[in-house]
Amino acid sequence: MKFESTRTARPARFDHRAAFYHDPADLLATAVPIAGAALSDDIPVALLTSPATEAGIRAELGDSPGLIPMPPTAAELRMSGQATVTRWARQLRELTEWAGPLIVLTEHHPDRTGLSASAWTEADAAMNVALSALPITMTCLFPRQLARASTEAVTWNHSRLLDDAGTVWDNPDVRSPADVLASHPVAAPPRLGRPDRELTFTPWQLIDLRSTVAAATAEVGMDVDRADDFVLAVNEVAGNAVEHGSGVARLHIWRTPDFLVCEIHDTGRLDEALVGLRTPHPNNPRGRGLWIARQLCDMLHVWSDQGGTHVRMHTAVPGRGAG
Amino acid sequence: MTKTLGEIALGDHACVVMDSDEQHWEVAADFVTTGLARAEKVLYYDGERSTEPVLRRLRDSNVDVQGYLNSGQLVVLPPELTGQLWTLSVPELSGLVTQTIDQALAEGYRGVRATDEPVTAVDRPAGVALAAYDRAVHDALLGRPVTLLCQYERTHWPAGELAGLRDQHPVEVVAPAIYDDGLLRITRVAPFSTRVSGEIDLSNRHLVRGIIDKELDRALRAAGQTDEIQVHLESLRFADVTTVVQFVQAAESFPQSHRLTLHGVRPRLRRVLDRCGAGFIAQLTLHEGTSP
Repeated sequence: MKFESTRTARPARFDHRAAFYHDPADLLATAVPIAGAALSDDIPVALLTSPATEAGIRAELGDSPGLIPMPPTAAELRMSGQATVTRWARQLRELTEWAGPLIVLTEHHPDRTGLSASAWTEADAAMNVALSALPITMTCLFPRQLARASTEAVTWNHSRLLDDAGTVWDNPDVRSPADVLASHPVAAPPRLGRPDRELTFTPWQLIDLRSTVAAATAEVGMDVDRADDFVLAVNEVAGNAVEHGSGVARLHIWRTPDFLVCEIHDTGRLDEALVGLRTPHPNNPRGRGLWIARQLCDMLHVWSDQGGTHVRMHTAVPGRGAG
Repeated sequence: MTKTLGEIALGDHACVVMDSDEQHWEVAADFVTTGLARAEKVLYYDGERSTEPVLRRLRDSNVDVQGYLNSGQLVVLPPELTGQLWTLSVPELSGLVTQTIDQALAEGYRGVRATDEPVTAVDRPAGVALAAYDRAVHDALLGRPVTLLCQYERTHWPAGELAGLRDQHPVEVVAPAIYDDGLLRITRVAPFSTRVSGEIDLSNRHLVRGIIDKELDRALRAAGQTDEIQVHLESLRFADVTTVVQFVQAAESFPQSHRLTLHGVRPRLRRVLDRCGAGFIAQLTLHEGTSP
C-alpha cells in the first residue's frame, strides 16, 4: 500500500527506506528534497555519505547547522558490517537523545570492502536490529547497477521503498534480519594463522581466561582502563559461550601490528545472528553483557558455521589507531 | 583459645590456618593494617610471594603503603630472607627475635607486630623441628610488647604436623566467611554490612544476589535497626556484567525506605554500573572511597 506522499514525517521509531539512483545527479535529486523537507520541519539530518554527496547537498541547501556530517571512516569501510553499525548506533542514539527525531541519509560506497562482499547486507540487517527503537528515518541510496543478489538483499532489508517520484511505499518483500542472514550468512573474517596463544576453558576457568587476556594487554603496553575494558569484553563473550554452548570453549589470541585480537569459539548455535546489537531493556538482566562487549571493543564480529559460533574482538595496540 | 583478628592484642602468639588465597590476603592485610594504625612496627616475613597481593589489598583500603615502607614502620622481608630463618640454630633464631624487638622499641614504636608464612620451612634442612623453632620464638616473645601471627596454608602441611603446630599456639585466629570458593570471598563486616573480595563471574555470581536479598530480609525484619545494606567492594577485582546488573536490580527491588550502599567502587566497576543504569536507581548509593 502507499504509505505517504510526503518525503519526511516526524519518525517515532526506526523507518528503514531504500532508494535507487542511476548516477550522482540522480542521487542528489533524491537526497536533496529529503534533507530539505526535514530541515524545513526543524528535523536534523545526519549525513552518512561520501564527502562529494555531502558537498552536493550543501550546495543546494546551504550550510545549515541541521546538516550533521557523519561520513564513514576508511576503517569503517574495511570493517565488519555489524561492528560499523555498533559505532553508528552509538552515535545516532546520542544524537537522538540530544536532538530528538532524526533523518539519516546513507549512501552505498562502491569501494567498500568490509570483511567480505556481504558486509553491506550484514550492515543493513544490523541497522534493523540496533536502531529498531530509535526515532530515525533512514534512507539508503543504492546504485541501480548493484549485483542481483545484492539488490535482492537490499529489498529484503528495507521496510519502505522510494520510487523515482520520491513517493514512499510499503515494501511487501521485507524480511526479518534473521531471515535475511539465513540466506546471506555473516561471513567469517580473514584467517589470521596460528594464534600466539590458545586456551580451552569451562565456566570454572574463566579466571584463567581473564589472566591470559590481561597478560596479553600488558605485553602490548595497554593502559589500565582500556585493558580492563577489553578483559571484561572477552570475559562476557567467553561466559556466554560456555553458558549457552557445550560448556567448553576456546580462546585464541593474536598480536597484529595494529590490534590485539581475541577469538572465542564454541560449538553452540546462536538463537539470534546479530546478538548484542539491540540496546537491552533496563528490566532484562540478560543480554547486556554482549551489548557492553560490543561497546568496549574496536571491533566485535560474530559469525556461525557448521563448527559452531565464533566471535572475533579487536582492541587497538597503543600508538596504533583503530582507524 | 580462638580469637578474631580484632581481638588479638600485644603479647598474643597466634596462628591462623587458611583455606584460600582470598582468606590469606584478607587476614594478612587486616593484621598489618591494625598494627600500622596502632603505631606498631610491622614485620612481614613473606614466604610465598604473597607480598604483592597483600600490599595491593592494603592500597585498595587507602593505606599509604609506600609511605609506611619509606618510614620503616612496615618492613617486608622477601621469601629468600624468610627461608634463611630455617637454616639458623634455635639459639640464633631466639637472638634474632630479641634483637629485632629491641631495635623496634629503640626506634620509638610502642610495639611490634610480626607475621610469617613459614611455608618455606616445609622443606627446611633436616635437624630442627619447626615446633622447636616455634617454642624458641614463643619464649623470646614472653613479656614483650609483641603480637605474632603465624600463617599456615592448609594445603602446604601434612595434617598431623599442622595439628601439632596449632596445638602449640596459645591463640588461633578464626576468620569466618559467609562464602569462600577460592575465587570469591564474602565476609560479614558488621550487621547488615558485608565485604566482597576476589572475582565474580559466571561460576559464582548466583550467590551475590542471594546474599543481598537475605540481608534486606534481615533488615526489614529488624525494623528500626537500619535502613541501609552496605556492601564493601574495595577488594573486588572483577565483576562481570550480569553481576553488576544484579546489584542494580537488587537495589531497585528495595522498598523506598531502604537503600543499598556500595563502598569502594573502583572506576572500572563504576563505568559498568553507569552503563547498567545505576544512576537512575534512587535506592542505590555509590561511594568510590573506602567506608568509614
